[in-house]
Amino acid sequence: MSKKAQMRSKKQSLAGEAFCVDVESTGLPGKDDVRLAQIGGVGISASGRVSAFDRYIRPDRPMTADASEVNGLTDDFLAQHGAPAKDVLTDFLKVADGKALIAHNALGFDVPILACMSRLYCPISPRDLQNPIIDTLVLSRLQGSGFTHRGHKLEHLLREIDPKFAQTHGALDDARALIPILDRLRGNLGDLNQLHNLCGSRRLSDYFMVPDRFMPKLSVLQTAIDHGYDLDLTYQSQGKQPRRRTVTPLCVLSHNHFYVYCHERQRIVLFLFESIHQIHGTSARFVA
Amino acid sequence: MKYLLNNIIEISPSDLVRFYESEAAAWAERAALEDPAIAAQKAQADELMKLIQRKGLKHEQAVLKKLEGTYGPAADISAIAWDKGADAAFAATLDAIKRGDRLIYQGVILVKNKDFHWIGKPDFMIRQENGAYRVVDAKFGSDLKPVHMLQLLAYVDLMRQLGLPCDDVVQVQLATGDVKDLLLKDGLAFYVSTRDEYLNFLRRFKADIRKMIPPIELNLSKKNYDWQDFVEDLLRKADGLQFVANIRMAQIRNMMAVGITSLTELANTPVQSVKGIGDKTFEKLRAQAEIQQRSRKSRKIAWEKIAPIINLPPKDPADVKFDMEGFPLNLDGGLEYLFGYWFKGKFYSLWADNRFEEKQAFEAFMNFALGNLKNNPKSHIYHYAHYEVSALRRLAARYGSYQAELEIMISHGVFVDLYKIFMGAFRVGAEGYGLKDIEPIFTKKSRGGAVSKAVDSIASYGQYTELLVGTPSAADIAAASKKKQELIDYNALDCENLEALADWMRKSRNLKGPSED
Repeated sequence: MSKKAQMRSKKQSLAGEAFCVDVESTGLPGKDDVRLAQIGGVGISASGRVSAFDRYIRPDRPMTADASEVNGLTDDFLAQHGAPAKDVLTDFLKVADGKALIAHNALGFDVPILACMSRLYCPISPRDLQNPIIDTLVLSRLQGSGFTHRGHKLEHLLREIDPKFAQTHGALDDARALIPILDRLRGNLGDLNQLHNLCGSRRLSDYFMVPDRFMPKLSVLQTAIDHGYDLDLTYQSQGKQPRRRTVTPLCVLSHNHFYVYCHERQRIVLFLFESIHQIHGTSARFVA
Repeated sequence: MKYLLNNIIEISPSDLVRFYESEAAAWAERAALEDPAIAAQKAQADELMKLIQRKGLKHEQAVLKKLEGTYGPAADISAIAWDKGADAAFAATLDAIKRGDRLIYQGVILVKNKDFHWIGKPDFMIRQENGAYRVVDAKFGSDLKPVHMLQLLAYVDLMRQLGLPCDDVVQVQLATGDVKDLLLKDGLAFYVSTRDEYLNFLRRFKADIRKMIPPIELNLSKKNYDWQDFVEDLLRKADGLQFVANIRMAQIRNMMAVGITSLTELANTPVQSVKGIGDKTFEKLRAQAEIQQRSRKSRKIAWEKIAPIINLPPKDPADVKFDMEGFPLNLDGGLEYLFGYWFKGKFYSLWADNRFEEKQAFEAFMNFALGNLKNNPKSHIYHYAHYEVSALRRLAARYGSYQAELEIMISHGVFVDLYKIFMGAFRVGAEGYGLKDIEPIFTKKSRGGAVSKAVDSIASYGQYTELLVGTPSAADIAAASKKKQELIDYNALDCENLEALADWMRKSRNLKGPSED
């Protein structure tokens, strides 16, 4: 089978290969200049074999107090145990290799962060990242998902599976905890293909696609994302004067929003597609 | 309305409002005083009515609390015993006014005229700086209605007849928290003419049912209050034109003018043209009456194909059948609480108990629909009548989310309204073209569930929310989740039937002539 045909067959059906993942970060995306601190993952092969992935990252931004409290990670610990982001992300993408990515709040948190960081640290070609995204949070909210509706946090769902469940710590535990949740969702809502459809049929590569309605208006933005170029643009935040910015586009969060690395402010910022006034491509490539 | 001693009738502003909304209901209310057989036909409050009453009372209490916050404790006339009639409460109201109490709650105003005694109970009376009282009513609803003006002006009229000091403004406190001031002079002409018409109606009243207003004025879509069943029954006996599906009141009047007075007459009329109705429209209505008559006789809903089926897309495995349920009695614009869809042989639904969950559900559905469309550009979203698209548009505007995407989907014909397609191609011997009305022709499944009408679903959802107010007991929670499941089952059946209807229409594509199944 040619490589293209292989990719097509992967795109068409999910044979049951999945990669449950949970990431910890240095802060809240949209609020803080967030970086990855840890990736925990559990790969499940079609035959049911399980393999673990657990890596810390030495982030080039300090942990915020809030994030530290949630994930228990500290700057000292990460400096000691963490590897460079580029290495961890490259390994992760290799291991996850086209498998369905399963995460709790995948659409809103884990996957956008992974996408942003991949863009920021790895020389990847985003269109190759065909991993289907399955979000257990979105699915658990569907009636008949097998979970009642008294809270949809991961720990609520786990307590419904095992009333004696005690709080997990760390990304690997959380990723592993997704396996029984996924089993229950599969039993109640349908196979992986169906779960993927119910989550909006998103793939990792979609996080690098400007929504159709902004094409060709923002075709420059799309080209910059595809090839890793920086952009000069005039951006107007609500109620503020338009400003010129040099940015590295990172990933598309939703139909309205996308993340950029803003060179003037030296941090990751959330932009609205509609607020772009003028946009020009540059030939510069930002290297983190 | 009731008889007092000496054969005097006591009437209230609510009776006036009833008359304004439906002369038939006013007639029945009056006739019930004379004829126990008619009185027996007055409906007991159904679940929906009870729900609205409870919601109204709750709102009134909230307004009372708010006003007491501003004006201090109210003179509460509702605490006065009514065992000897309204006089004690009336006297207490007068005392409160003489004392100059700032806020009077549930005051009672009596005006004893020669033939009728009026009794008015405004929710609140608030003393203004000049000593005049402003009449204020709490109304459960989000909009002002003409009847509010009517009712408030009736109170003012009664106060004036007694020489009590009235403000020249009346006020409505809506459930949205909006406070609407109305100027007396703006509504006076409307009030006076309606009141005089009502008094004339009462004076002319004859209990003989044959002398009752002609069926021409009976209107099922009007608010007939507790007399809806009674009015429907009368209409049934008269075989009223109102039962012809999709007929309008103006068309009924035009037909009555040329002597077509019943559905059967319309079905069999040799008349080909009626003044005020286009010939094509008239023929359509005649054919509609005819097929309904035929269905009545055979006790089976007849149908016929009247035109080619157009705009029905070919089936796609990724088609979505979509049905939403909303609760209009919720404050500010209603809550869309259930998004159900049938997709690849399975039913899915999202439930919302509040605005936050409504937004989540809306966005989750849009995310799903857009993703599905991207992978399956030839798929469509099927629905029945315009509610779903209007509601999605409303939500997109409410949350500033997916507006452009939704409009693109709509303009590209992604949403397919099966009602429009069905209406254009088929004639059915039913009294309406709702999904439930036409079900028997395309599916054998019957609706046995607890929720079988759209109105039931509103009442059921209302009960569901009430069960969960405050700190519900375990039994309340169990009852609420049962109600919820009933609503979901009802929605699932609707979605499933959309699939059945689309399939049935596709199969009927090659049918030509009229047929009867």
